[in-house]
Amino acid sequence: MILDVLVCHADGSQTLERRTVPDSWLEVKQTESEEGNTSEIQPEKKS
Amino acid sequence: MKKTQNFQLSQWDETDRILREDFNTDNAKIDAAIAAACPIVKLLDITTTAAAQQIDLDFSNIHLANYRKVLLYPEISGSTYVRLNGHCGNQDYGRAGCTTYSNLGSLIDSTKGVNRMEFFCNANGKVFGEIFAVESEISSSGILLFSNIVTQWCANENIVRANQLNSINLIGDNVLPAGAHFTAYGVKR
Repeated sequence: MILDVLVCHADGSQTLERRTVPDSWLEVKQTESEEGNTSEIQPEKKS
Repeated sequence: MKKTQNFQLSQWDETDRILREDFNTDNAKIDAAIAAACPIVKLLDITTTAAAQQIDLDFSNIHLANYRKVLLYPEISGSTYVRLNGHCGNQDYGRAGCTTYSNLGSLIDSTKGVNRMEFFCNANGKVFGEIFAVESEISSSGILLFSNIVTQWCANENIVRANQLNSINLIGDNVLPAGAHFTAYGVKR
């Protein structure tokens, strides 16, 4: 998928990039180390 | 011309010539002395000028090992989650409870509360941090509601070490509007 990314540098300059990222980029995953299970979850805090 | 004892600043007598170079030299010494004495240095102060779904803060010139910790204050509309150097593996970030995540934590909408992030590293270059997110609102029944979320995290040392931290990635649930403000400070060792 393609994402607009604003890159901000310490000197204050900014660059808007159109970047190709994995489809899973917007997914939030977690792994319970004891179980070794992986699951997709929603972000922990949604407003 | 006489000089002060500690920093050799100019002390003019009546017969001494007053020269611009002496003032410039003195001011340079004072500037350097104040900077050296201040335990905190501002590293970043940015207000975004364009909307985007992700904001990357360039940390390539900020060397984490030079500081006790780096404090980052994000003011951003909309909830976001945070990654480092673009790493999104589900075992890239550890948090309390023996659980690993594909991000190190979430920030809250700054129109509703306040975020503070801290980054630090140990002598071996492992990167750790905390996110403090507090928010409050008045409920429909007039009760003050307050929530305080603290997320403590560490980065998988196989993906990011202190000398490799180049970017902080803030990914919005939706497009993040222009006007987000970020300030970062380093606490000197």
